[in-house]
This record gives sequence, C-alpha cells and structure tokens, in this order.
Amino acid sequence: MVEVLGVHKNFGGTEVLKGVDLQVGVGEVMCIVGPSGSGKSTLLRTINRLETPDRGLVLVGGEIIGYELNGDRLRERKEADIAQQRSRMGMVFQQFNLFGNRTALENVTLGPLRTGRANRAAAEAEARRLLTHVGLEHRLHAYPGSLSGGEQQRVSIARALAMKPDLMLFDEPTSALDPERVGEVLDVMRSLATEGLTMIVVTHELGFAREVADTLVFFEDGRVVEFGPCRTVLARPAQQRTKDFLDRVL
Amino acid sequence: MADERRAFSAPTPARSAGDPQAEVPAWASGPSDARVRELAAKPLDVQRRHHPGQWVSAAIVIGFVAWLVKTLAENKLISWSTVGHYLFSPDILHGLLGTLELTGVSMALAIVLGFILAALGASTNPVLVWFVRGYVWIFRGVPLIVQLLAWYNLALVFPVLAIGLPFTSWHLQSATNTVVTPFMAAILGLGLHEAAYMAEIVRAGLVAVPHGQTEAALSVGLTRRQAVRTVVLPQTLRVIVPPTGNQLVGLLKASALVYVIGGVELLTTAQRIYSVNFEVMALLIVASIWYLTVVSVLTIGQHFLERRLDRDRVGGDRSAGPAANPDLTGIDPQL
Repeated sequence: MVEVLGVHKNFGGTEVLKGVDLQVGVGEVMCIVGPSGSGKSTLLRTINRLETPDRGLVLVGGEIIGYELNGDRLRERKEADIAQQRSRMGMVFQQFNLFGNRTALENVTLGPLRTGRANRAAAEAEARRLLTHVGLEHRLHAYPGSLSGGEQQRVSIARALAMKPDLMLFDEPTSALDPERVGEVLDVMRSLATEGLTMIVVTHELGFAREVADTLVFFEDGRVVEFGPCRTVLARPAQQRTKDFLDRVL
Repeated sequence: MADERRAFSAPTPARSAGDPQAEVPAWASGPSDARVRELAAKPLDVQRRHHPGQWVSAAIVIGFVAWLVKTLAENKLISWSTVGHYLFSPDILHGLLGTLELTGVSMALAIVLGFILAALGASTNPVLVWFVRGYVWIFRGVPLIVQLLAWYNLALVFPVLAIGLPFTSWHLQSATNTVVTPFMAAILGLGLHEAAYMAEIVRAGLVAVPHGQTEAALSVGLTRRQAVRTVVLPQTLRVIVPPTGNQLVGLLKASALVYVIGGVELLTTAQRIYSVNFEVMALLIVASIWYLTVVSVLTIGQHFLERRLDRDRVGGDRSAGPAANPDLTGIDPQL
C-alpha cells in the first residue's frame, strides 16, 4: 500500500530525514514511536506531500506521489493531480486544524463539495453519518471554538474520512488533548483499525500501539532504528536503543 | 467543577480546628465568625465608596463644553442661519455625492488592488515580491497631495496616451487630458495610494491565518488556489475589516484634498460658495456636519459587519464566560 524509498529531507542545512525506507501493507496499522524532534512528523508529512523529500520517493497504491514517469525520467505532476493523490490519504493533525469559520458539519463537507465528489445533499448525509459514527451527532452545527479538544479531533477524523481515503495518516492525534479526552479519540481510531483501514500513526501512546498496531517503527534522529511486527519489537527489541526507550516509557 | 470546589474547601476549617499545634498565621487560621459567614451566604449588599474627584472632573468638563457651545451659538460672526440654508442646498448635496463617489470608487479600486498586491507579495517568485515592495514603497511614501497633482498634470509629460498590440499597427490613442479628467486623476491618486495601505492590511490578514488551515485544506484534496480562496481568505476578513474601516474613514477625509485639482467634492463646493459670499466658517461647518454624518454611518455599518464576521465565536468559550457567572455582572467595574 505504502512504500517509502530512501527519503531524505533537509530544513535549512539540518538533515531531518536521513534515508528512510518503510513498507505498509493493505489493511495494516503501523505505529511510529520515538523521541520528540526525531523527524516522525516530517516523515508522515512527506507521505502526503505536505513536505517534499529532497531525495527518495514515496509510493502509495503503486503510484509515485508528486511525480509521474516520463520515459525513464520523473516529471512533476500537475497541482490538480497532486491534490487528487492527497485526497486519497486522510490526515489528522496534532493541533486538529479544523476550519475555524465553519461548523463541524461544514468542516466535514468542505472536501467532498470543493473537489466535486458529491452534491450538497449527499455530502451532508455522509457528514451526518460520519459525525454520528464518532459520537458527535449532537454537535453538528457547533463551531470549532466551542468544541473540546477531543471533540475537535473527532470532527477532524470525520473530515478526513469524508474523502473516503485508502489510507489514514495520524500525526500525534492525542498529544494536544486533556488526559481525560485521549480515550475517546483512541476509541474512534481503534474502531477504524478494526474496520480494516490502512493507518500510519505517529504516537506516544504505546498502550494503543500494543493493542492495535501490526507493525511498530522506532524512529530516532532521522532514521528507522527498528522496524518489525509490533509484538516482537515491544517484547524483544533487537536494538539496545529501542530497549532503553521502551524501558523508560513503559 | 462544583464537586472539586467543595472537596477543596471543605477540609480547611476542619484541619485548622483539629490540629492546634500546626503553626498557622493568624489571617489564615480559625473558623470565620458567624456574622461573616451569614453575610457570605446572602447576596452582596455593599455600601459603595464615594468618588468625589469624579464629580469634580465631570463638572469641569460639562462646564467647559457648555461654555464652548454658548460661545459658538452666540457668536454673531458665525451665521447659523447660513449653515441651515446651505446644509441641504443642491450644490452642497451635489458636492457630497461627489465625495461619496470618489471615496467609494477609489476604495473599491484600493481593495481589489490591495488583494492582488498581497497575493503577488505572498508568492514564491522573488520578482513579484520585489515588485510589490517597490509599489508599497513608492505609493505609501509619496504624500497623497503630491500624487494627486502628479496624476492631474500627467499630460505635461505624456501628452498622448495610446495602447496597441506590439508588432502590429493596431492601437487606440487619445489626448491624456481627455482620459485623465480631474475625477480620473482623483481616483488614481486616492486609489493607488490607498492600495498600498490595503496591500499591507491584507498581508497582515494572510499572515494571521495559521498555516495549519492551508495544510488541512490541502489534505482533503483542495489545490493551493482553492485552499486560499475557500479556507484562508474568508478567515482573513476578521483581521482585515477593522483596519479597513479605519482606512475608509481616512480616505473619506483625504478626498477633501482633491480640492487642489478642482474635482467635484464637498470641500471644493463649500470653497466655491464661500469665495463668493465670504461665509467661510458657516460653509466649513456645513462640510464638517456632512463629513461627521457619513463617518457615523460608516462606523455603525462596520460594527454590524464585524459582529457578523464574529458569529462563529457565538456559543464559543468567550460568550460562555459571563453567562456562567451571572453574579459578576452586578459588580461595580471600578472594583
């Protein structure tokens, strides 16, 4: 489903990603853990091209993200093509990033309406269904400013799902939440995983990873330190550094 | 919340009463006496302190204003009947219409140009960015009155204006003075000057919208252009509208400068009348009354526009604040 091939990324001379290779299969849930500032979020953002890798490629569903093959060279895709590729990957941000001037319902319908996926009636029906699914059927017309963090994050998950993505990317979805609100968001994510959606989750919630993830990546200093089946990595980490990290966090 | 508060406050008297050897300062110790507790339970009934200084200062100001009004009203040299006579005269109303026209058209030009300039300035193309900086540098830097005179006298350096297709003989041309009439010169002068300010205001609005909004829009499959148009620009309005209201009031008043090139507007009209009948002060008062009237209308309009733009805050945390503590509204703001 997703292949990350030798991805490098620099920010003003600092190398944030130093050659990353990863694979995620269809229906798999991959959790990426590691210390803050290790490049986890940047890696996630290169997958849907909010960041452009300096070297390396990302493939989703066999398609190169951002480029097309022209003979044996790469050619930049048109902006509309990239937008279309992005729309097949739902993204959930740490800070929710709900559209502040739109209600919960309008947040969810904006994507399908503006990309011409659905007419208003269909988009609204689907948005109601999704918001009900995340337990917010009573807050359809609330603006983000009057929703709690957990509610905002659930709206943002519904917003991403409205584009019927093949893949969901979660960028520390619970890190900005009250401890009491973490559970309600993890519950929604857990049910998505059970439904068989492919997910890549950058998180500090090792309990969630243990329960839901198929594969676990320990990431540090722009590199994959360890990558394997979740149970194996948690129970018997091959690298001393992974073991130290897990000992300290668990 | 309520439960927490109870849990927090309840043990305090018990602890100080049941633990006499603990060293507790006098102000923090002991159960409060019964009278105080009785007062605490009732609605607050407080003897307010008087503020004699406020009465004195209010009396001084009222006295001064009364004296000013009396002096102006009794001044035989200001002909108030002339003010009344000209306030609704066709000439003055025609001038007022000219002022409104100038202000409206040049503000529209400035807003459109301001958005275009801000959009160019936000691009990644350094040539465009420098062009916008240069524009703002010149049109904000040169005094408005100089710009008005320059547009008005354009014919001195470009007697003929022509546009045509390059490499063909097709073109349109006409004498500069027939294109750049005083009205046109005033629109160009006011509008281009104002556009430099509007570009800066729109830029501030764009900067004020968090980048996460754009990213979220991109992530649901919008193109960059769609993201700016449907997500970012609407959210800039809340930031843009208040300073734009200010600019509009400023522009209305600045339109009086057009008298130097003899356009049709309120001050020019007033001047033309008083140059004949010498009622200078009366006609300046007439003009001022109209300027103040228009400014008041604009201010009210801006208030309602801002309230409309704030509607997504209604029901948010901000409005929930005072409603949750209705008792606070009765407290004297001076406390």
